[in-house]
Amino acid sequence: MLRALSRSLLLFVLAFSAALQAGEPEYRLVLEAHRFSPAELAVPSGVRIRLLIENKDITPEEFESYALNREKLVTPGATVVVFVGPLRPGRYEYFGDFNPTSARGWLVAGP
Amino acid sequence: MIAAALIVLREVFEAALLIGILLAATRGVSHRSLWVAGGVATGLAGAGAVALVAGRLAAAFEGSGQELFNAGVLLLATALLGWHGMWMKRKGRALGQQIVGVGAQISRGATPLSGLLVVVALAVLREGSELVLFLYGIAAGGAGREALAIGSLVGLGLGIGIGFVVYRGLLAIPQRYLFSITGLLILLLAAGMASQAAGNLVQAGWLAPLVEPLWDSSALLPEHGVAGQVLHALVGYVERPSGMQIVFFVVALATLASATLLAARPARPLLACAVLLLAVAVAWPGRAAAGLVIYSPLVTAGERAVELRSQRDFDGRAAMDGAEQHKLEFEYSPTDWWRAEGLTTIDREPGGPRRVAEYAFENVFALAAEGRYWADFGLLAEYAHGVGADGHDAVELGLLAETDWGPTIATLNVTAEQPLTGGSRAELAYGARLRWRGRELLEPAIEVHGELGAVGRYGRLSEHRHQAGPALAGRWRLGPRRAVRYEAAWLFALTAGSPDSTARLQIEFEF
Repeated sequence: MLRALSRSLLLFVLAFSAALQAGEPEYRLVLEAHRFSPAELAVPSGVRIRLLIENKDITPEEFESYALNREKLVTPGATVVVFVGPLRPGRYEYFGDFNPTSARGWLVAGP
Repeated sequence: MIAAALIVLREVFEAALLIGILLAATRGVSHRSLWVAGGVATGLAGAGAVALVAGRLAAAFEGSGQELFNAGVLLLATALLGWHGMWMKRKGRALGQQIVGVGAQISRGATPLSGLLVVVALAVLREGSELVLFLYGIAAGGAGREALAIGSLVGLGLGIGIGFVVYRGLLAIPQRYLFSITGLLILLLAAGMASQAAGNLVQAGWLAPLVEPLWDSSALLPEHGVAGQVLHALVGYVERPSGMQIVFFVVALATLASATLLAARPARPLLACAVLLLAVAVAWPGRAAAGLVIYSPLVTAGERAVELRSQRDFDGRAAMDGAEQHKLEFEYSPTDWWRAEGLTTIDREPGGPRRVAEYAFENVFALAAEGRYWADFGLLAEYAHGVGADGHDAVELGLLAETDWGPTIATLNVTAEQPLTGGSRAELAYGARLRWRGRELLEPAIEVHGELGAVGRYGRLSEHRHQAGPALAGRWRLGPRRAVRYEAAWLFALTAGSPDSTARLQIEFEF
């Protein structure tokens, strides 16, 4: 039974495997000393973007945003990708879940 | 220190809530705490392992490995929780009636308990790996380490405490209602996990968000608030969900709810439920060429098969001649009411090349025990992922019915296919067949297949594809479980919008 379930699930997940897409514009956030830079990142609205987050600290961090509905671990020294949008114009707050007081910033989607 | 406590509490809380509910749901099942403890231990070991390879995991799949891993864990947990819910529904009745002495009996059906272990392990693994990384960060962080460590311990204690309170709170519920309530909670947890899995796949860029956000309830019920966090743990609440998350939530809830009800008593309300689902699919605003196939609602437990379904159009008009569709499938029926299939579609437009058009996950649910009513009914539910620039993801739902009058077997399928991207409307289609029992190797039949157009834009009958013609079907036994099945049909046009004729061939190897 478990084997059958996991097999079905595997098929289901494999069904998506050809869906990898590329070509979205890229934007980069760098995390250093538990702070994001730039603290305000201007991005276009209306298109899906690839947001790269690089962690230059020696501790792990979790990029999180309720406004963007995104959450992703960034291990020390790593750069991760998060797909965002298409966004409506506006300010979207994000933070580092492991250091929420210092690691804070906004994505600003232009008109 | 308080910040650390809150962070740890939030991670522990989700797993603790699930474990509290599962422990209450399995009340009276002997050795369940051992299985749950085994799950926690496995999960913690797994969390450590995942945290160790987190960097490599994240870098896999072009930087989306973490999301895919999470989505896999969440979908597996959804399936297992669904399975567990069904099992509890079946056994819960017996437990509710005679709580004493049943435990030993129940524990003999050991599958759900190993399922319990896996579910708990998955929950602990997912939340735990984040926790391990956070704690590693504290250890590596230097200044203020002690305060953070104390905070983390407080958070851990609080999280476990809340799980315990949930467990005791549920046990305070009168025995009669306990299993209904825990069953409902498990259903919601499972649907919430499916929705979170969709969130991960959207974030990885593997699934279209459809609409993002579908709504914004941050002012009403902020996600970071206490109520928001509880709802997040329970039903996967997010304040700005994408449309795809809600689709996953609704589909998982509807599928698991109908399956759970079915496990308890195969009954007519389910048919109403299926009709409702079909109506929901049809009402959705949203094209894909459905294949010509007629499904039987009957499912045989344990049956495995590989199958090839092929069709080709023949027409004097070049624009309609030579269209092909081939579906290669693997199917398995884990129970006598559920058949699951994974399939790949290769198609060819008139004059075009053959190419992979979609991957799909297809399910047939038998809605009542075979022969219980005047006809057997089934529900078809498929998710197809379109490949290529013009490919669209689509959900197909269908009602399947079959009945027999003496040697004549009549089968009817009505389906609605709703593309999830591209914004077109649901397309309705039907297929019907009369087959005559004769020799098992060779049975004559007649078939009719057609499209009814898009919902709200039905168009003219002459524009639609309607075809009918003779068919042969049969089964050749090779051994106790092995057999080859085939269906072949030659269909003629009934309307101007149909190809002059279509050949259809279906070959299945059961093993």
